[in-house]
Amino acid sequence: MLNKETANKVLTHALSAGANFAEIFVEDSFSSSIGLEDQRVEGVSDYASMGAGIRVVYGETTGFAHTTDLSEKGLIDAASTARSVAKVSPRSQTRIVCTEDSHTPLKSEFVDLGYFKLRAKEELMLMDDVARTVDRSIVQVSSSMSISGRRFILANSNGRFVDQSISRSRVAIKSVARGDTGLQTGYEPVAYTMGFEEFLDMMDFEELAKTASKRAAVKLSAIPAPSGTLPVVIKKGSGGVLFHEACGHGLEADHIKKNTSVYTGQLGQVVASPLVTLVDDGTVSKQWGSYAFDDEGAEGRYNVLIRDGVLEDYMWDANSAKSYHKETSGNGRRQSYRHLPMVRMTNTYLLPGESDPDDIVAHTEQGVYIARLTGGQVNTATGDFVFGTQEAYLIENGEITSPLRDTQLIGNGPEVLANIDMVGSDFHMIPGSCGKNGQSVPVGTGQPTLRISGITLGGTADV
Amino acid sequence: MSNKNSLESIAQSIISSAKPKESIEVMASRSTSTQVVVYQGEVESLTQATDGGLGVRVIIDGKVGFSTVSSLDKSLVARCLQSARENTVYSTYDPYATFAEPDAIAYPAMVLLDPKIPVVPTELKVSRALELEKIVLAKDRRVTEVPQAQYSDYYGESVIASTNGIFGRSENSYAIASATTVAREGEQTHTGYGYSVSRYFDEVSLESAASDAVTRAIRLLGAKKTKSRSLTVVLEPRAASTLFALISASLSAEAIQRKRSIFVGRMGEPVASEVIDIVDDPTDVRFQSASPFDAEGLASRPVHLIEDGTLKNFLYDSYTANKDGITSTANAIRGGFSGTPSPGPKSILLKPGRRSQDEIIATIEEGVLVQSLSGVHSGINPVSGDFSVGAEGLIIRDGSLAEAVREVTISSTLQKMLLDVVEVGNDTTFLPSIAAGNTVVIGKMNLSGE
Repeated sequence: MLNKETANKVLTHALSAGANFAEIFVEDSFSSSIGLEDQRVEGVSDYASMGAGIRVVYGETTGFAHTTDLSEKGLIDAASTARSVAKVSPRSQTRIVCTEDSHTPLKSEFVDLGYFKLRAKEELMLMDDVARTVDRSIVQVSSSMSISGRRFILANSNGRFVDQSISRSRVAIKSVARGDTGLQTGYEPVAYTMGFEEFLDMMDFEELAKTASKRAAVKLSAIPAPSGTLPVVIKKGSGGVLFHEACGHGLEADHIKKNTSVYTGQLGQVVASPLVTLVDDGTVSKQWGSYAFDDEGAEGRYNVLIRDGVLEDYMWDANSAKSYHKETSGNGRRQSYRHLPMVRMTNTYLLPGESDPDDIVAHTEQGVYIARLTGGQVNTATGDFVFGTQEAYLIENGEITSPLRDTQLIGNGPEVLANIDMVGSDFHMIPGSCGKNGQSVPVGTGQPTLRISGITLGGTADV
Repeated sequence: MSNKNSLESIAQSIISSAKPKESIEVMASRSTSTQVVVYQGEVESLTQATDGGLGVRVIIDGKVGFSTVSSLDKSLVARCLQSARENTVYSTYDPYATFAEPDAIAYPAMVLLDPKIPVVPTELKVSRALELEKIVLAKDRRVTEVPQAQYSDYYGESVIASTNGIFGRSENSYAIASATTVAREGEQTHTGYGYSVSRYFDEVSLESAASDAVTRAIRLLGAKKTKSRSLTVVLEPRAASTLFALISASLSAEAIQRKRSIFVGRMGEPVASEVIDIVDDPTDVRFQSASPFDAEGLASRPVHLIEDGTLKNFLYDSYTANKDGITSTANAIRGGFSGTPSPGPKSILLKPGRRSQDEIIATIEEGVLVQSLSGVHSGINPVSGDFSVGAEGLIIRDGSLAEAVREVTISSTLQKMLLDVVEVGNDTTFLPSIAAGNTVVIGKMNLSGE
């Protein structure tokens, strides 16, 4: 895709108007997916993309251009466009030679798309059968499986040369149950950063189908969720989105740099309950947000963000790190060669504590137990966030009782972090997709079972 | 076309390669875009790019395959066609599988491209963004940060063609100036986002983008938590647009046939209050999404979905229409060349009422004016209709706007909300969305706070 000789020529050209930094990011990616809808295979599709993004930096200003023409001329043209943002007075010449070599330790496997489609079809049909037999109320099942691969070669004027290949596999199922109260849905995705063979080996597809159908069926008898402020216990796994939204985004250094985070200037201060130790970890084996190198060529890292309630560090990309004379924390990511990198999370999770998960429920007189959260949204400048429930129950006298209809939680990041009063000894992670400034990247979130002493629920029960 | 690289010739060469018993459809696009982001009087980034790509659908013996490539490179395009063919092998035979059949309706003549956008010098675009940041900061001392001021534009062409004789080509453009703001006073911080968008470079107003961004942040200063109760909810046009875009998606025949809509089995019934009248009309050039033809190449036409509260029509593409034994309503949409068509709304227009937002507010004793909704995707279930989302806005007391509220959700069900609409404002606002917005008053909803 890109050899060092061409890279050096293009980088030299990109820098020649006096830039401080230049980078070529060449990407070859594909995805293949297959869907089962109403017991029919449909949506068999392939996607392919190949192109290069060229970034040229002058002080605080970035010029960016991308192209699908990977010839030397195509890259030189894109470099000319990118550097056209140059200020009038050229700065000192930077000399570049691509020497430093980094190859991905991740296995880049040969993918036979025909094999994928045949095997995926078998597994989806099996899941469909299982999902329909779990409960008589299930009237609709849809599912899909996809694999994707992404190879990039990055060369920059600091001499970095990285060649990385990553394979990803994903499956999701949605069941719809019908009852006297109308229709209810249950949805369950599983995704890992691994090749398809390995994914097939480790997945229990039947179990996944059961989970989705049970979730839909149980909600047929759901009562309206309460409204107002209540103690909430969140089961291990999907509650990680709480940390992703409530403080993760606010700890991205681009928000710190622009003073648009409630966590600006809070390093070394208490920002959460002492039970909270939060990490962002790009190195977790095979998780959805993992990688060996970020999209700026920096190594993925294990970064402690909050330790025992005290804010220890933010997440950095090269650009924000430069402003604070820091090093990147390996959090520079981009959706594709068509996008500029920015600070993004990888796998963000809360470390387990010491409470027995069952005790947490037993110690809650009245409240809500959330078995599955869905996505959320945060305003980093105010810390205010919302997120939705997909499977929740009332807690009455320390026991989990009636299922609740889907509702929304709303809160303020710093307040909620301070209100975490029990953290379980269990742990689970789930995959997600994170959107920021129009770019979507795969991320992981995780957490042990925990309790928040009070958070606002937006239910429809009479007030 | 003599130009070998034209979208038309690329599409035609794929179509003409169809083998016997093979139907092929191609959608190809090419676009050029510019984006300038400024921060503190400096250009933070300038992105200039040309994109292109296509998507190919193939039907062989009732089996459909699809493949897409985000490049117009000859060898990648050839590989794309090959993989679309191969993908038919894995699909289940579907007796309804079809591409659009040309009907007698001609494409409406529509001008959707501002010829100025491709020729405006980049320096001028950069200066628009710099100017916007200045205007925003000059408006109100309480606006302490402008994290991003932006100017972006786009122009492009797309072609759709099939072995059924479909051929459509259209060009369109847009330009947008936008700013995000942070307003601070005392302990409080609020954010705003404002924009001005148009198909035409000269119609983008920096002044209105700036006012929008500033007003939305400063009027939330002093926001307080409030007690849970039920009250009248007044949605501003942007919030109403979000809601009606979502509701109209449930009118897609696909959602109905898959029984994943609150409108299943409701045809001809009153599903909303009598003041609700909804049309999908992609021939209306005031919509950014206007187009002479749908995503399968059938001429665009207005479709009356809800008339005086009664459900009148669903949105069909060729496949769903074939399943129901009718003809397409030309409502196929797709996420660009890389998506496959499915039926859905594109240009949703609510029939405006008589009164302005100010006149409406003046007659409300107790309510909340909602300027934006958050958590829309996690908080609204289009199948069950459960609705619970975060809201930002101001309390209405005795006919006037009072203090702002924070950390509240509003909740109901979509079904009930539609029936509870008591008034639609006269302020039809065209937004970068599939739905235009009006002020919409919902008689009663639950507000959750403290």
